[in-house]
Order: sequence, then C-alpha cells, then structure tokens
Amino acid sequence: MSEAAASMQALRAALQRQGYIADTSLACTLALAQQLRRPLLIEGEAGVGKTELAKALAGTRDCELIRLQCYEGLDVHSAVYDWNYQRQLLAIRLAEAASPERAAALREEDLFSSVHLLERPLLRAITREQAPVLLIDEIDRADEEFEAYLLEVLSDFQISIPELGTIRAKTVPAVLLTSNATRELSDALRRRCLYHYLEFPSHEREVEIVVTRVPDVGRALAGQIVGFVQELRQIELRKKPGIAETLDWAAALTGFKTEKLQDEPERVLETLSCLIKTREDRGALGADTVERLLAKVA
Amino acid sequence: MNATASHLDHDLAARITGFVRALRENGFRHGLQESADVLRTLGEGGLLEPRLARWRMRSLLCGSHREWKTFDELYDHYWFATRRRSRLRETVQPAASERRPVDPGELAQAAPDAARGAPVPPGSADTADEAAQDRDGAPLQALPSRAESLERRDFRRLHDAAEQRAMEALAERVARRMRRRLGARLRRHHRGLKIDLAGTLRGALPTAGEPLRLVLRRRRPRQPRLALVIDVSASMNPYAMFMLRFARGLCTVFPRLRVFAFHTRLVDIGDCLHEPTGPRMAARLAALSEGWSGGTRIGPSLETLLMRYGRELFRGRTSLIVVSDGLDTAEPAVLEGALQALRPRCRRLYWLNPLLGRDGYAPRARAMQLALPYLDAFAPAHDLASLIALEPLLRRC
Repeated sequence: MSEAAASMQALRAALQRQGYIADTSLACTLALAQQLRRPLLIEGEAGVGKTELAKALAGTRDCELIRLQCYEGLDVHSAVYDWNYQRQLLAIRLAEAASPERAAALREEDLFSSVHLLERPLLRAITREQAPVLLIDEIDRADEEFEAYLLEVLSDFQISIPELGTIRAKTVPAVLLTSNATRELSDALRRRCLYHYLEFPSHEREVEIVVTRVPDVGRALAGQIVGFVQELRQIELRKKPGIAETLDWAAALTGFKTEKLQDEPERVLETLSCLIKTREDRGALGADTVERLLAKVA
Repeated sequence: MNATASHLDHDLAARITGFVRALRENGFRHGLQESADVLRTLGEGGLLEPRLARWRMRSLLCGSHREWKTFDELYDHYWFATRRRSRLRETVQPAASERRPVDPGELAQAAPDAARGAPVPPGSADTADEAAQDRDGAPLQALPSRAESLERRDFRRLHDAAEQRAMEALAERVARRMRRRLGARLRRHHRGLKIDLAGTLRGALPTAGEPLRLVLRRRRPRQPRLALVIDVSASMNPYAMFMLRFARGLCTVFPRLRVFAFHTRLVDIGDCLHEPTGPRMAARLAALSEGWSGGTRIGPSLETLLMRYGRELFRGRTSLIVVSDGLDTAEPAVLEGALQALRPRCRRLYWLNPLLGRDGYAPRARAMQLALPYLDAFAPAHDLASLIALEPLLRRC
C-alpha cells in the first residue's frame, strides 16, 4: 500500500473513532489537504455533515476547534481582533486616580499590548501552540471584501495589527471552509483551496452513521429508517432532510420502541416532524404518500 | 515543475500536464500552482492506486460544483479513451487487485493511441472559442452530448457581434448607474443609525476618555438580491438571447444576481453567464437545453424555482423578475399556486413581457391574466429603450 493510501486509511479510521463515517474519497481529499497544508473548501447541501466533519477532524487531532461563522457585514473587528477599549480606559483612569506620576508614566505600548487585545477567531487560530482546526462556516454569506482579506490570511498565515505589528502564525491550522453556494465565491479563493463536494451518503454509509450515533437502534430498523429518508430526498421537498434529521428520527423511533416501520404507520406520521421542517412539505406528505414510501422500504 | 516531477516518467508527466491543460480548455479555472501540485503529489506514490489518483486530482483541480460534476467524465475520456466504460467497471469491481493498476510505463505507452481517441485536441483557449463559434467544424469538448437539437439552434441565433457588444456595454452601464444611485440613497438615509461603541471610545482617547464625539456605525449599502427567470421557449426566440445578454451585463455588477432559464424545465444558468466569451456562453446554454421538449411550462418552472432554490434564494427579501411572453402550456392552476407562494417571499415581483411593446397587444393570455394581480410591475422588454426604462423599477428592488 502506498504512503498516500496508508495515510488515507489511517485518517478514515480516526474519523470513524470520532463517530464520523467518511467515504474513501473524502478521506483522500482530507489526507491530501493535510499533506499540502492547503485549506479545504467543502460544498454540499445543508445537512450532509460539513460542519460535523470539522468537529470530527478536531477530535482526531485532539485539538481545539475554532469556528468563525460568517454573515453579511462580518468585519475585521469581529473576525480577527479588536481592542478592549473599556479596559484601556479603565487602565488610564486607574493610573490617573493613583497618582499623576503614574498617569504620566503610562505609555502607549502599555495600552496597546496583548493584555488589551481581544482575539477573535482568525487571530486565535494562528496563535495557538497546538495547531487547531479552523472552521470558516458559510463563507458565501460574508462580503466580498472580507473574502479578499481572508485570502490574504490564508496564504501568508500572518495578521498585521497597526498598533502592535505583524503577528506570524506559530502553527498553521487545518482550515475548512464551507459554502452553501448562495453567492459565487471568487476564483482566487477557490484556487487557493482544495475542493470537495459532499453528497448525501449512500444507503450503507448512512446506516453505518445511524448505528454509530444511535447505538440502541437495531440494524434492521436503521436500514428501514435510512431507506425511508433516502426516498424522501428523492421527492421534491422544500427542505430535504439531512443526516441530523435522520439521527433525530432514529432516536425518536427508538424512544417509542418501534421495531418495524410498517407495523406503526401512525407512529411514523406522528414523528415525521423530526424530518419535515416546513408547512408546505408537511402538506405535501399525506398519509397515502407515507404509506407508499413505507411499502417501498419494506 | 520538472524538478518536482523528476522521478516521474517524462512521458507520463507530459500526459498529466496535457490533462491539466485539457481541463483548463474545458473551463476549469485552476492555475499553474495546481498543475505543479498534481505532478508532485502523484509523484509520491499516488499513481499506484488509480482511484486515489482520480480523487486527488479531482480535489486539486476542481473549484466548483459544476467542475466537480464534469470531472469524472473528462477524466475517463482523457485517461481511458479506449476503454470508455472504465468508470463503471471500477464501481462494479471494487477490489483494487482485480483491476490493472495504472502503471506509469503502460500509460506512457498507451498515451499516443489514447491521444488519438481523446476528445480534447491540443490547442489554446482561443481555438476552443473558435470551435464554439464554428460548431460544425470542430465539436466543443465541454458538451455532455454532441447530438444536435432544434433547441440549441434557437439559442445560438444571435444578433451580430457589434450589436451584442453594444448591448452588453449598455446593460452594464444601466446596472452601474443603478448601483451608484442606490448607494446615494443609502447615504442620505439617516434613520436607524447606530452608535459604534468601540469607535466612540477610540475617538474619545484624545479627549482623555470623554466621549465628546459620537462615532456612528456606517450602514453598508446593501446589495440588492435579484433573481431573474428568463423564458427561452420558441415563442420567446427573438428576445431570449437579448435578455440573456442583459442578464450577463447585470451579473458583472451585481454579484448577488441569480439567473434561471426555463421553457419546459427550469435550470440555473448563472454559471454559463460567467463564461468569459459570448460564444462559449451560447454553447454552454445550448448544451443545457439538450433534450428538452417543446412548449412552455411557466407555472411548473416557477414551482421548481420555489422548491429547489427557494430556501437559498428568498432568504433576504429577494426581488424576482420574470421575463416571459406568458404563453403557458401547463395548467393555469399551477401558475397561480406558484405565484401565491412566491408573492410573500419576494420583495418585488416584476414581469417583463416583450409582447407588451407591440401595438395593440393586450395581456389576454390566460397565464398573463392570472399573474397580473400578483405583480408589482408589468413592463415591456423588447428593445434597448425598454431596458433603459427598467432602471427605476430595478432601483426599487
């Protein structure tokens, strides 16, 4: 087995120990990202486990997960650093109150020192002793200007703070970016990153996920649950149920001690709220549709 | 690049470089860095396992979902040109030992005859463009299927080049001016200003911490979210390309513009509009319409818009602009249902109808009659003047 394949298998096994069942192509991409030390851009429908992957990855490395949730209007002060102005003022007032000499001795460096610096996720990610996993969630929601800034940080792993100087990365974090494709990302950012499109898992893999995360569920029931959810995803729904929804539903059914879906169609209808999250979708799924889907997965 | 790949067979390195170039000709937007990375990582034993080689190249060279979706096919075409069904085999026989590993020497041998059968002739990006323009001369490689269809010819019937350029320039200018005015409106808008606490305290430092001057948080001019749905059915033929060009112009200025086309089905064509040249865009649009049957299904198309794209699209009060002549062949009830559902989700709902520019036209079509009560505006879009007249409407988005 080549070195690349070995590192891929090792990573896959490590993720599995964290309860994340990755398929081999994803493990391959992750191993490559580690090898090249490049950020990884992950796209895919909501609920395929993009964010969960970052958590599991942090688990495998036994390191901190630093998460930066992007939104419209996200700026440097909430993403990179800010000064703790209140504390700075307090320091000045305290020095003044103590004695005029101390106030005079107060230097600018004392005020703009790391004591008064508030680390926001990006700065925190590059100043840790142990390289963390940095998750930049939903980068497509941030503005283009921020994307450009991020690009700079991701290529040099250094941040300049005018009052303090340039802070270089002590360790290079593993960077995961996720996007829901609500906005076209810049080519520069896409070029900077490796890319992986995460699909909904195959039947076997999803059964594996359910059995791993909800140990009380029997394998037979898990197979039925996954079959039903995967059928649901084929229907044109406003919001397709993700893996988290499958897990919720499996937990709910286990709680009711259901053993076979066909035996309790009314139970399925009652617990459908685990899977279906909009009124329109609920309306589209009548008892007859559910019966038909149940017959399919029998 | 050669230094990193010194331990690779020279011919194989050339084949890989050829593959990277072929992808670029097919619209992949990776750079030189990626080519070097591919050579380097494959050199480190990646080639011994064919599946790994595929996956590694895929995550290195793809940058978007569109590229991701076409990668496998291009990969098979290039590397297995003589064995077209190889991908199928790979999934049928998962045991790696049963398959022939891609041996560098063997590949290098296979290279000449694979190149003959490969769909990507060597050439610069310019020749690819010409190929797109002169479809019968050389087939465009990016197309999933090469079968000609009536629909494609419809799409390709363009105005002459000078008019196209004038149109695009105009569309861009209209959009730019609009954006500037929108910014001005936001600057004058003083209600809802917020105090920037950190900024105020920062400003208070020179006055020994007395906040004499309030610093206000500047409101960012919000980019309007727009979705454009363009009817490209046969009856819209003279206007569809015109509108697509207009959309392309708007795209360069409004990053948040989403564009869809439909006649019997609805597809997201935003990707196509970002193609660098006009002919390439036309060719990609033609590929999309492959296999569509005739007719116009406005209602079901709007329903698809709502179901498939609704959640991402109508999150931040998007304005929706439908461009159609309103000749719907589907059930009117479907259109009504879709409009009813869309109405509360849209900030503005406009309908542009090219027929409205004709003398004596009245919106008598059933679909048009149904739609009118839901619209914020019903406007013509048949010539440049009518597009310019759209400006005040767009400004209200």
